[in-house]
Amino acid sequence: MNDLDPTAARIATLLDEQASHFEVRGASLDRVKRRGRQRRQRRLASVGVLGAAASVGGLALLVDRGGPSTARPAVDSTTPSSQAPDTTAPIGFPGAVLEKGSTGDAVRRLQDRLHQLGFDPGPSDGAFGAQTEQAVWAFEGVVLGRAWAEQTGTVDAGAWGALFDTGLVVEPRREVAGGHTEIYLDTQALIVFDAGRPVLISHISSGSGEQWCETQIVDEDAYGDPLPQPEQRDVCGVANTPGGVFMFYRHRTGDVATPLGGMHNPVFFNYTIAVAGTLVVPKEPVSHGGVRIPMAIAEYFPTLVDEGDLVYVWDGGKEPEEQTREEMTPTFTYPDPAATGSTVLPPSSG
Amino acid sequence: MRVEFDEFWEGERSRIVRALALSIGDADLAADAVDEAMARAYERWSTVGGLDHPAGWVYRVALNWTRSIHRRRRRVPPTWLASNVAGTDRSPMEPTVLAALRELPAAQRDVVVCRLLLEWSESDTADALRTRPGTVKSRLSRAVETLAVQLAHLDHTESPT
Repeated sequence: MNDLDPTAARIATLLDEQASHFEVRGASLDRVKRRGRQRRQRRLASVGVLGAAASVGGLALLVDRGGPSTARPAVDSTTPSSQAPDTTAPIGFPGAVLEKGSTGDAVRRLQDRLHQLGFDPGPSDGAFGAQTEQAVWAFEGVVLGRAWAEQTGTVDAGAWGALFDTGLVVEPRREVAGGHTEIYLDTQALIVFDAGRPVLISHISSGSGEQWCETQIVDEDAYGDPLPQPEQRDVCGVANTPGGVFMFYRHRTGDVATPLGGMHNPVFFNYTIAVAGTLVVPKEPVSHGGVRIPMAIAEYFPTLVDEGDLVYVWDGGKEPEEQTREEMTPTFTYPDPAATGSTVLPPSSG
Repeated sequence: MRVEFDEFWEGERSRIVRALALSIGDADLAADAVDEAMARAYERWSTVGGLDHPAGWVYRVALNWTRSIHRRRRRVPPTWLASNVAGTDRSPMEPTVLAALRELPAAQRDVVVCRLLLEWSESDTADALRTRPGTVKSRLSRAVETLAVQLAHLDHTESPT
């Protein structure tokens, strides 16, 4: 208080007097500690699925950005310091551009580093396969700021340098104290944040934006209850993934067959739009509107997010909060105007 | 320098709840938010406890948490301590102080409670609010200017003791 001028000091006294009248609702230290322990277990469990033990050290490093003061090496008592991977040391570019099909120690270091930052290139096995390529796309989008069409899936000297920049921290665009997810359609990337630090950064394939028409066999109604008889419908829709602010509201475990194809472990956030695993997750946006993630990531994705977590979707134009309700609503399928009408199929067993 | 979590909780919890309550105008939400932040601090106390100013970390996490709650409950306006002011017969809060605080921009209110109520230094406040010490200084002086005018009538320095 010694550095305050008299007016400020007088107001401080007034405030203090006011605040002292507060009834502060009692809380139980034990309850708070129990919650803290539960959070820690959940966090470590989700880190565990990310695979490499090296990622534990890496995430702990990123945890520190929650701290108000300048960067200091985070030491998490739950992580023996001996586990700290040598991948944090600056490493020179191996010389040759790494791409799908590359193998060797440089690929393994690339994979370790990607894991450390929250990407999931698959097992650190030194083989640059499809999942590593997807992780590199996400890295290009999130760190190098390349739109999906400019992503190469390769790591040259420039990308390598950016990757191993020791100051590299992936920051959320929105500060949310709990868990939240950010989806960037222009770079086709998704990041799950927990208390502001990235827990998972993944490549996605979202809606293609095209109109489609097809014949569907439908055996569930809109609520997921079985129809008495499957119906064949000619329907059209527009494959768009709207921007906006949403909330994860439901997840279903396992493979969910929908008229538009299979989804693995979908977590829904905007009507029928979910983050879900599919076998095909190309560089381009190709989905019917859902947010596709690689199958291996979908295996554990539901453990990283909670129902009620906010989901921010940037469509490359407006900020999520600026989207109107209409813009945020997905285009629902509608009957194909060229078709003759829906048909009830005959029972399959004669 | 490093304190144990229990000690930190004892010393800081109700102070931070009071300050946050004055900043956001909702004592219940403030208590929930600080407890949430405290749980997170305990979760990673090995890191948070080693910070220069763990209380600032808790304040920021709690403040951010209330913001995300406010966004989720978009339609419910802050209660501005209404329920806590009325009905407390033992020395009620001075309504004009609350009214004056409420009129301040939220960013100034945060600076006011951190600097004046919690008595944090300029740099600790800047860290907690993720801003620069210079910004803290200017926000405080603007806020004090406003408050001094609005609260001039309460200036009974020679009140009977």
